[in-house]
Formats: sequence, C-alpha cells, structure tokens
Amino acid sequence: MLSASALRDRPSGRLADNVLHFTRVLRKAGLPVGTDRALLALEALRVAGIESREDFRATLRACLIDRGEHRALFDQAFEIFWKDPDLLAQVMRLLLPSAPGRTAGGSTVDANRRLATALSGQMLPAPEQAALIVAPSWSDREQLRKVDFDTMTSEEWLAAQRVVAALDPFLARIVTRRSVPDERGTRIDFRQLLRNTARHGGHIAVLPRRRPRTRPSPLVVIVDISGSMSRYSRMFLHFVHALTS
Amino acid sequence: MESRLPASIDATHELLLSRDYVADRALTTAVYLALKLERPLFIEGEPGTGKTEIAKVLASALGAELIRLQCYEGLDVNLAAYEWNYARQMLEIRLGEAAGDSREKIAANLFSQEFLIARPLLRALEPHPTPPVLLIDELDRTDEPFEAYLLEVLSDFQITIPEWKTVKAARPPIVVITSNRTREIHDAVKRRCLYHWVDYPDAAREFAIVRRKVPDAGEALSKQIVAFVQALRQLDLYKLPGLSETIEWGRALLALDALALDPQTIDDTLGVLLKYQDDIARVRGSEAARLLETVAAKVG
Repeated sequence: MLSASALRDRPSGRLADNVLHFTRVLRKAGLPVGTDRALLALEALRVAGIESREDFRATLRACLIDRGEHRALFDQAFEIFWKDPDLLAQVMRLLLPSAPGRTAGGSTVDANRRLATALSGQMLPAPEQAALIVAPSWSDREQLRKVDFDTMTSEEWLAAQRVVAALDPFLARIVTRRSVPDERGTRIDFRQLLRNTARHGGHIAVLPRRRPRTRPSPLVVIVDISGSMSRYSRMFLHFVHALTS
Repeated sequence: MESRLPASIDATHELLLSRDYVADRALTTAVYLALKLERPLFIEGEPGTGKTEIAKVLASALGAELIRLQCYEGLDVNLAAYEWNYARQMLEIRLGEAAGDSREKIAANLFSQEFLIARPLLRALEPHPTPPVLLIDELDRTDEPFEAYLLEVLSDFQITIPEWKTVKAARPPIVVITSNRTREIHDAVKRRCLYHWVDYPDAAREFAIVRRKVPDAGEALSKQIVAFVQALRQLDLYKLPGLSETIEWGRALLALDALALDPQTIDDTLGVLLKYQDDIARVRGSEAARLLETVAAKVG
C-alpha cells in the first residue's frame, strides 16, 4: 500500500476519486456527509497515510461521521466498498435475490437495504434521474401513505422522515415554576442584578432578565424494538420525536 | 514544540501510553489527525470512558497548559470568553475626571487589554510558548446560543470583541470537546471537528488499563475485576459502570486487602460500580453470585 509520503506526492488520482465516490455512497445511505467532510478526509489521508486498513478506516471514520449511531452503517459501507474494488460485481451480488449478500462484509450486509440502494445508485450514471427522485411532490406523499415501512427504499425512507420531521409539535409545553436567564425575558432578575451591582461598585450596567422555564409534557412510549418491528418502531420514534421537540 | 508533536499514529500511541492512557487504534488515529490537521477533536461517549482524561493526558504529555471550560446551562460569553472589568473602568473614569482629563482621552483607553478579564476561551487564544490544550467539557450541558458563539472560536481560532478588536491565535490551541450526549450538538459545531465515539473498552484493553492504573492489584484479581465488570455491562442496567468505575473499584478492593472476588466483598463494594439504587438492588446478592460464577468459569 502507499505510504504517507508517496500519497502526498500524488494527492489526486484514483484514491481521491474513490473516497469521493465513497462519500456519495454514504450520503445516499442517509448519512449527512457534506463536501467539506470529504475534503477533510482527503486532507487527513494525506497526513495519516494508508499503510494499514485499520488506520484507513479510522481516518475516514473520524472525518466522515459525526454521530455515534452512524458507526454501524459506516462500517458496513466501508466493508463492502473497500474490500472489493470491483464494486459493480459486488452490487450485482447484493441485489440478486438468489444470493442474498453473503459477500465481503459478512452476514450483516444483506440486512441493510438502505445501503444496498445507495450502492446500486452508483450504477446509474444519470444524475438527472436522481434529481427527479429527490424533488418531493404531493404524489410522493400520497404514495408514502400506503407504503409499508418495512419495504421502503432509502429514498422513500428519507422522504417519510422529512414528512414526519415537518410535523408541528402539538404537545403543549408545560410552564414550570423555575426560571432561566434570558436577555429578552419578562422578569427582572433581582438577585443577579444585586450581584452585578455589587461587583461594579453600585452601578447598573444592564438589567439581567429571566423567563419561566418550560419543558415538554411527559410522554411515555412503549416500543417493541425486536428485529421484525425495528423499521416500524424506528419510524414511530421519529414521529414521537417530531411531536415532542 | 514541533518536535514534541508525535510524527505518526504509532508515536501518538506511545505518547498516550507514556501517561498511562491505553487508547485503541481508532482513538489514537483521531488524536493524531487532530494534532496534525489542527482541528478540534469532538469526543462523544458514555460517562466514565476517559473522554476528559484524554485532554489532561495530552496536555501533560505535550508539556502544554490545560485550559478547561466546564459547560453548564446558562454559561455565557462573560464567563466563557471575556468580560470587561466594569469596576475598574468606573474607577478609571472617576480618576480621569478628578485629574481633569478630557472626555476623549478617558474614552480612548477605556476598552483596552488593561480592563479586559480573559476567561478560558480567550486565554486559549493568547500567545503561549506551547499551544495550550483547550478542554471544552460536556458541551451538551450548555444551550444553543453558546454553541453558535463557539463557531467562530472553533473554525478561525479567533474571538471578536466588538469594543476592542479581534483576537486571533498566532498558533491554534489543541481543542478537545466532550459530550455525554444528553442532547444532540448542532451539526455546525460538529462539522468543524474530527469526531470520535468512545465505547466501553473490550476486555483486553480494560485489563491493560487496570494493570497500569492499579498495578498493585495483581494479575489474577485484575482479570477477575475486568471479567466481572464486562459481565455487568451485559445486564440491562440504568447506568452501566464505566472505565473510571472499574479503576475505582480496583482501588477499593485493594484498600480492603481483597485478593480475590467473593460474594460478600462484591456486595459491600457494589456502590463503587453502580450509582443507582435500583441497579444495586438488582445486582446485589444472587445476581452478583451468578455473575461471579461465570467469571470464575471464564478466568479460572
């Protein structure tokens, strides 16, 4: 494999292409990886080198994800993407119903349809097609009403997530007896005022204010998270999250 | 200073190890990249997995000053970045008036470094012989306006003080941000950082850490301690014991002169490992004895 110094001499080329390619796969699988993160990854690889696969993965991981729960998806994508350079053949095997993904990544690979869709997207050279899918319209939403969560593709899943996230929280917030500092608050914070005044030799510079603290009303949700229900419960949790936040 | 920065991932591992911090390869890589690319390192994970420790270890290993900003709800710019010393400014005005100085002359000097109280963020940007380690601890405890304020500090390593000037670090500090994930940190902050999630260590690494941190415990007892804690983490508890609890427990057992685990000692010292009464009540007695049996079967 290439050492750090050799890599520095040739910053572009196949590796850069592949890393960018990889970030696109991640993005399609639903991970929010921006261009800046891809550039950061390239910069980091230049520093860290790619002598060992473990370091290569750690470098990409430090740069490309920013949430604990994305680790599993990242690792799966990494396994599939970087094990076999012949991506196309890999994807074909993934998609064939008779050979359910017993490929490079091991048994967990076939479980993730979102990832499979993301990888398959690489085969379509037409960005216009992707643009068509992204634009949400009433008919999409109409369709989403009837689609089973378990059989959704990643686009549908993301679209459903967006629909859910756009819901207004309608659970009222409870006004508590306690208050929090707030510049635009309604009450004057006399205690703080006194402390500030004492510190500033009796002068009043600003009037510190507070407002009553609010908190979401308590909501108890009991969810079955076992394998067969995981897609449903996950979407349900998105729904609950949208209601309460 | 440059010579003290590790030159490779292996060197970073050695550096951390020299201060008894046993990091896994992924964390070492993230630390190395943060040092090399001069990017903040954002560390998330369960409490007690050594997130804060990494900043302390880095500071001591690099011979740098550790500047710590402990976050809490209501933390504002006055306490985190800088504050004007109003009292001294007032005094200055009075003195100026008494001396018959003109209004312009008094005003000219009023907002200068002399009257500025530097808080952790500003202190980290001031010139140091060695770039300091800035630890922004438990960022999830602050509120969103403060996060937004941090953006300027994290991306450009500068603070704009409207009345005075923009203070920019000649050499960026080493920034370590930790979060316990009681809430999600805004993407804008995370985008500026390298990210690492700290997991509970596996048995081999935890054993290595216990051996380093509690060397007097002996190999057999250390093995039992680690196996027991690892088994405990498989249970469905409200708060799983972290690495720091393992180390504390090791020290507690040592203080009690325990040579091996037995049900009575475990019951007596369970409070060191578990911090919730419900958890303790669940494990104490028969459950602890059962765990101990599996541990004994495994460790021998």
